[in-house]
Amino acid sequence: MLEIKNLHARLSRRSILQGVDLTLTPHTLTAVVGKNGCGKSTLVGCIGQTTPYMGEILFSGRNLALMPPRERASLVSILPQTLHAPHITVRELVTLGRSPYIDIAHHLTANDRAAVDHALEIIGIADLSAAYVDTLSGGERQKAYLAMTLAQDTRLLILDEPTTYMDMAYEQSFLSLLTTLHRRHKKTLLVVMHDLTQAVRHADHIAVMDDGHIVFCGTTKECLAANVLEQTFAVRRHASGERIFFTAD
Amino acid sequence: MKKKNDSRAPGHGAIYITVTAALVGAAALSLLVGAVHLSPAQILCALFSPDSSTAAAIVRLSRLPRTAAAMLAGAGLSIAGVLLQGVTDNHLASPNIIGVNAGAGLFTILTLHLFPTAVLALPFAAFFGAFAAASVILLTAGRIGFSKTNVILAGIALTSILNAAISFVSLIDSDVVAAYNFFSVGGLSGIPPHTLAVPAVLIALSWALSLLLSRKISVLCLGDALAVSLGVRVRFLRAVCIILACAAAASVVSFAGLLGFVGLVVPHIARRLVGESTARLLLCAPPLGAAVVLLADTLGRTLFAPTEIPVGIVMAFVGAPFFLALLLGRQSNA
Repeated sequence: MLEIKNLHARLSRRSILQGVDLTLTPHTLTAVVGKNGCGKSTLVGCIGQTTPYMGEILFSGRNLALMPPRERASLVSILPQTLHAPHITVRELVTLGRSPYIDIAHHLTANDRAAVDHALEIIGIADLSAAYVDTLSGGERQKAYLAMTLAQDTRLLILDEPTTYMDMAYEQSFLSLLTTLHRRHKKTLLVVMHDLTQAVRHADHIAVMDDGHIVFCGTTKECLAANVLEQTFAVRRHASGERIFFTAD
Repeated sequence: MKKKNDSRAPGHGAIYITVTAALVGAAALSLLVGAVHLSPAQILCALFSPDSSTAAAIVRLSRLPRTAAAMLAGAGLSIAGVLLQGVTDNHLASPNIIGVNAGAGLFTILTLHLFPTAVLALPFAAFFGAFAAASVILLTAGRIGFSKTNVILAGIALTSILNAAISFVSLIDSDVVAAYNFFSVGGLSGIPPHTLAVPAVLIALSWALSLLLSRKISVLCLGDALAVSLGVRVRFLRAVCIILACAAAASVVSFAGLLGFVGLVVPHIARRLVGESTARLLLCAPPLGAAVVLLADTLGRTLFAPTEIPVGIVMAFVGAPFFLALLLGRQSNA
C-alpha cells in the first residue's frame, strides 16, 4: 500500500513538510489531523503530484512520481478540498471518474457503465443522477464527487477535509458512508479531518501532524492511550458511555 | 434559485436540430439579401447549376464567399472561445483577452507601415502575429506556471504591450491608420474566396482535435488537482488547447480582421443551451456562432443600406451589452 518516506516540501521558500514518514495499512481508514497550517493539505498535494517535493511516495513499492499519469490514476484517487460546481449532470460527473480507462474515442464500455451505476448506488445518489451538479447542496455535491472517485475504481482514496461545508447530521452520514467503503468495499482511505471527535469515532488509524512532522501514527486506541491529541491540540478529552469527544482547554 | 426537479437534462438533440435549422435559415437569408434583388430560384440555380448570368456571378463571387466567411468566422471564434474559457476556467476569456487579436493587429499595422502596397500580405501578417502572441503567452505561462490565472494575466499584460506598440506605429505613420481602422473593427466585405481555404482547414482541424480532447478538457474544468488525480497531463493539455484556440482565432483574424465579442458571447449562449460538457459545447457553439455572425452581417448590410456597417461593429453593439449584463449578473450572484 502507500508508503511515504522522508517527505520534504516547500511553498514560497517556507518549509512546510520536514521529513514526513507515513505507511498506510490496507482496508483501513486513516485520519490525518493537525492544526491549521501544519501541512495536511500539502501532504495531499504531494501524494497527488501537484505539489513539488523531495523524498519518496511509494505505492506497493513503486514510486508514484515515476508512474504514467493514467496508471497512477488507476491506483490512487484524490478528492481535493475545493470542488467546482459545473453545469453537468451527476451521471456525467461520475462518468468522468472513468477517464483513466476510456480511450481517445470516448467509448464507454459496459464495464464503465456498470462502474458508474455501482458508484451511484453505493453512495446512494442514484435518484440524483439526472440532476445538475450546480443545483445540489454542498453535502450532495460532496457525495457526487465521492461517487466519481469511486467510479475511478482505485484501491486508495484520499479525501482532503470532505465534511468542511456540511451540517452535523450530513457530516455524520457522510463519515458513516466512508466507514462502509473501507469495511464492506475493502477500500483504503486517507482522510484529512479537522474534527477530532469525528476522527476518533470513525478512523482505524490516526496520523497526527504538527509543524510539518508526523508526531504520531498508530491505531486510534494507541492514540488515545498516549494522550497525543490532548498534547498536540491543547484540548480536553471527555467520555460519555462509549462516546469520546474533545473540548478546548 | 434553480430547483433540482427543474434540473433534469433536457433533450439536447432538439437543441442541436434547432441550432442547425437557425444556421441554415441564417445562411439562406445571407444569400438572399443584398443590393441586387435575387429570387430563391435564382440563388438555387446559381448554387447548383451555375450559368454565365449576372445572378450566378453575384451569388458565386460575392454572396457565397461572404456567407462562407461569416460561417467560418463564427465557428472559428466560437471554438476558440469554448477552448479558452474551458482551460482557463474563466468565462470572460476570449481570443482578444489573451492577446491573439492584438498580436494580429500589430503585425498588420507593421506590414502596412513597412510595405504600404503589400495589401495581399495582410492576412498572412495577421496570422503570424496571432501565433507570435500565442507563443509569447505559452512561453511566459511555461515559465511562471500554466495556472488559469497566470494565462489570463499574461494575456492581459501582453495585450497592453501590443496595443501600446500599435498606437506608437500609428503615431509615426498616420497613413496606415485608415487601413488599420477597417481591419480593427472586423468586416466580411470583398473577401476573395481563395483566402478562405487555409483558414477553413485550420478551423476544421482545431474543431476535430478539440472534440477528441473534449473529455479531458471537461476533466480539466473540474480543477487542476482533480484533473491530475484522474490521469490528465494538465500542463500539456492546457498548452495544446491554447494552440488549438489560437489556430482557430488567428484563422478568422486573417480574413475577417479583429472581430470581437463572438468568442466571448457565443460560448455563453451555448452553455445556457447545453450545459458545460465540453463535447456538447463544441457541438453546439460553432453552428450557433456561425448563425450569429451570419445574422449580424446580414443586419449590417441591410440596416442602413446602401451604407454597410461592418459586422464587427454590429457584433460590438450586441456583444458589449451582453458582456455588461454578464458582469452585472456575476455581481448580483456574488
